[in-house]
Amino acid sequence: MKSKSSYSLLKRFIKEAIYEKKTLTIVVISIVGSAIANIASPYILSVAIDNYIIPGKYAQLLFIAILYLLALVGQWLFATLQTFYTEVFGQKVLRNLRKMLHDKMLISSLDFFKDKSTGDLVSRIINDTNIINDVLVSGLLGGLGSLLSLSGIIIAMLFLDVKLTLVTLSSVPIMALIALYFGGKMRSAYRDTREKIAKISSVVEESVAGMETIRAFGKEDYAEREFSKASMDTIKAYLRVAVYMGIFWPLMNIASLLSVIVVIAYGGYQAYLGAVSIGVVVAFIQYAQRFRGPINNVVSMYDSLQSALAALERTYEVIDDKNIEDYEGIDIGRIKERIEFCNVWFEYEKDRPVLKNINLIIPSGSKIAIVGKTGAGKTTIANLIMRFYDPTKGGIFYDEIEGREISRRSLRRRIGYVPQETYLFPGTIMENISMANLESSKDEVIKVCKELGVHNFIMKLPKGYETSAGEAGKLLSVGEKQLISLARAMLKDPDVVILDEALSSVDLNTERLVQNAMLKLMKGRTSIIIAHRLSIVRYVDSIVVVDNGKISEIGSLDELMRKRGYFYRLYTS
Amino acid sequence: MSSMRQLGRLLIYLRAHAIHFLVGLLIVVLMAYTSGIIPILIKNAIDEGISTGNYNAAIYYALLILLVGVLNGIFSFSGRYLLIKSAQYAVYHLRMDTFRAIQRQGMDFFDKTFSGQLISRITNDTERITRFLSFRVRMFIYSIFLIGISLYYMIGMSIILTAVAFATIAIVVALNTTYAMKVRPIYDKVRHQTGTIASIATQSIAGVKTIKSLSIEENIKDKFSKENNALYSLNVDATKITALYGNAPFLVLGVAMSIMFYYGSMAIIGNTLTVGELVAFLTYMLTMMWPLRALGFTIGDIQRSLAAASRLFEVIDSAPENVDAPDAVDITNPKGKIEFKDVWVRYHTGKIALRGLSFKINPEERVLITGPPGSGKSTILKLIARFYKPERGKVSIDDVDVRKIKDKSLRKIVAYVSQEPFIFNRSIRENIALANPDASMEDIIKAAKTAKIHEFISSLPQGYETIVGEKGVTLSGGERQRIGLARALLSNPKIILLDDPVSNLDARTESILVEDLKDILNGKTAVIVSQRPSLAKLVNRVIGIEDGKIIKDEKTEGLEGGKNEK
Repeated sequence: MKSKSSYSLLKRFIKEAIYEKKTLTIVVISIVGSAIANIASPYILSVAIDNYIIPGKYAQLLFIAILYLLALVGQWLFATLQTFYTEVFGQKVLRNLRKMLHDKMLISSLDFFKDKSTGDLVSRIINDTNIINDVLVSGLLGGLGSLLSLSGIIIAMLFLDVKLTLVTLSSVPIMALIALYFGGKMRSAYRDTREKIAKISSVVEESVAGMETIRAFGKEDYAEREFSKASMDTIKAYLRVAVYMGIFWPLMNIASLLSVIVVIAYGGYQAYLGAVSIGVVVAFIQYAQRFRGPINNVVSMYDSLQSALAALERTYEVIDDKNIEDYEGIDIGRIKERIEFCNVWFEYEKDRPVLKNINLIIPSGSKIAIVGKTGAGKTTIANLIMRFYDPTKGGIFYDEIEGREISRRSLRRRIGYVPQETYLFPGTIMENISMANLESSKDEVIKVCKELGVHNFIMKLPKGYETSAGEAGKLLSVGEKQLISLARAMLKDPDVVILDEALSSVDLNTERLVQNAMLKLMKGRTSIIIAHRLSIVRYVDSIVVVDNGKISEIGSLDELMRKRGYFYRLYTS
Repeated sequence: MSSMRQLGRLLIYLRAHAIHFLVGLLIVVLMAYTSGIIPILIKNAIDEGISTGNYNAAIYYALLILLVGVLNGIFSFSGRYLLIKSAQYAVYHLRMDTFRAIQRQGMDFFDKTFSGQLISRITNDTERITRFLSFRVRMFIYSIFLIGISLYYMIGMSIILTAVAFATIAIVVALNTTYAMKVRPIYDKVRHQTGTIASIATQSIAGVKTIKSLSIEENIKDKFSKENNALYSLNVDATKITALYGNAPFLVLGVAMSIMFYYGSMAIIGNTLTVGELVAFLTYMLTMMWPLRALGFTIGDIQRSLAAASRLFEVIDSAPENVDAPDAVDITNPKGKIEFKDVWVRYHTGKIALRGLSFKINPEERVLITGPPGSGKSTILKLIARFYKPERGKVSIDDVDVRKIKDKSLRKIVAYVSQEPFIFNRSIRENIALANPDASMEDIIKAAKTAKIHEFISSLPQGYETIVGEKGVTLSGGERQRIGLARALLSNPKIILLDDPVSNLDARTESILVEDLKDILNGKTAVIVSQRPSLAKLVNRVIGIEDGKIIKDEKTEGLEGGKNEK
């Protein structure tokens, strides 16, 4: 069962990787060439010794020497080609896999991300693909080369002398066993050191991140003990590797020498009997030393196959995931009249509804605030309007068109969404704002920023608009970053804006700035505000109070205050 | 010259395992000797055994080869083990020194340094040094002696062929050195570019909602593609160098072996060389292939390994020797008076944070410090907790300059609760007992009760033993604050410093916490930094800061004033 699924995984991978036909052909040619050149030189040596050197034929010696040179140059040439093109081929496959994974993640729906951590997904793009390249591309091709070399050597030996060959090969199973047992131990001990080093990293990371706390409580010696322990564990792991390596390589060497000894002993005897020539014995001595490398290659590839298959499985899991957004559908153009929630039910997990039968009409140009406790379902409403999710039951209508029929892209183009947390993407601040509308010029960006009061903040950054987002991310507060998000939304010139108020660490000054910017953005647009602080609700036409997935109250601020219901309690507490 | 000094300083770390190291080196020399005589034994087997038909001689040499091979294996094992052990322990001490130095650094060090950089110092740089001390040094000694021994035996067989071998060795080592020096920087670039790709991918995943709402999937795809292609090109560049320089020694070797073969054969026919000797020469060339590569890499790597060492030494040297001043004192019976006298502070960016601040806080007084972001208000707390030192002026507790208070004593008197208390990835009990690991369970529960978090903790399935933090139960902002408070209360400090305790809380949680703080702060000097007006209820004095200066200092009626000490 297991082997069958691994087999089909491999089959699929190989089928998909074979598109780089030209590179692959060169690789295969160089592998074959390499194997042939590899067996040629000892053979030429044996012929030379027996037919030219011992009989003392001067004349053709130069010719044989040139042949010998050609064999060695061929060995170099094919090895070089093999190294280069195998890696190029592998890198092409790798590049393609990374791109496939990344692009797939971008079109996945939010459901896909629900149960996966960012670190895990990034690791699939970076680490898993690398393992696949190392084992399934370089490893497999290298292993193929090794197998070819091995069989080439064996054939050449058989050609020279059958009995001697069988005797010489006696060390091959020993080598394979050593490679399998100690090699495996060595590799797993080595993996262990990587884990221990990672542990050191995390101890350092924790003590640096928690330095203030460590210092405030005088816990330096405690942290030091922890570090010392992690460090000691690393030493132990490395010493274990040293032991296994120390056993593995010498044993491989001795096994390899064993072949040489057997050749000398048995071959010497045969030569003494006159059954084989000296040249043949010399060739066998040379061949016997060439088993070690290929056997080790093949075994270690077999050994790492399991981890590579796991990586491959994780990769295909992402690529095959069905939670994707499609961007087909009607182009909505502008949203002119209204957005309407019609008996909308929604659940993230089965049978745990987050929204229960929501009915709501948001006419164009109106401003509403959605308030309620954490977990009441406020953000879900925004998610549904953006079509990050579709309702489990019921529907949302944009100007009478069911959301599911509208192309997501055209819909999102008309909605400006300002999330709680602002993501700055790699690049400059200018790029980060203008990405909202790729046609906008720098002047337009600056104009919008000035209008929203974010211009001054940006100008205070080390390089103004050209400051890298990474650097700016550290210098800007949550509120200031949200201003950038507001500028992005403004640049889109949307019909509808959805604002998710930032919850944390906004000081009064920035709060005022954010609020002003929000009001500017809301002007003349359908506005939906998810309010965490209640100061903004003064500026809206109506307040929708959500409690436990249902709309519990709806009305203007005055109405709700007069009513002295749930909202009143929330507002005055 | 400075690199010699770095090397010397590095070698001093081997002191504790000097004997292991030296014995290890000696064994490596023996190993080189055993490797170096095997081709000669093969030669003897051919010349004295096989060619002459002396079967006993062939068997004798075969067994001798086996014996030498086994000895070689034993030497290889023990030399490797001893050198790795001494190198690992040396690096252990180096690592500990670095870690201790990091812990002694002032907080401004951490403002300037990325934690990723420190991690890289302690993991990557030390790894590189370990590799240098164990692997590189071992291979260097091994290669040098193997070359020496091989040349010694070669000269005995044929001077001309030895000259060919010597020239080959020189060229191959030079090629390998160049290879090492060329390929390393590219691999550094590859690593850096991989980091770039990882960060783009991280942003794509973490910011997927933003990307979708801005409909910029294509834009981000292009960006990823661009960097992805750049990584591909770098890898191809690296491969080019590996394929060219990495394989070039094989070509040189091939040419050399062909020359040897030709002249050797002529010499055999001319009776000045034996078949066994020619085979020995060829075997020597093959035996030396990998040691020559290692030698080239060692030479190419010395500079980088020493650079790694010097980066670590830099971290060690930049830390102050001692945390406590030599004339530091204990404060045994703290009253909780705080005084700032003309305090000036400048950030590492050059910006002046505090401009000649002077004020007094009486014992058991509660003070709220407000001001816009960047006004320097948090810096005030950090000066009291001595995370930073003033550039000019003096901060004192109970009339003693904080710089003259023993660290242990200061930490007992002053509890600092940061904006977002750092939760270690351990049990709640350990997180609270941070200040005093020997604290009894009753004390811990008492502190948790005072911080009003006991009930929450008890409601967790594993109670106080619940693991929290990165890999455990995630805590909300309010819960973190309360654990931070419980932690601070455990050692019963006289002065409590709260850095924006409600900034990450929603309105409801905020009002409950403020209410509870009234009890918690009882009988203590409290300095609270915050923007939120709700905290004014708690205090009897409000100080306003702007641009590093006091712009307002007024009593509030909220509560009765602290004890006046005059």
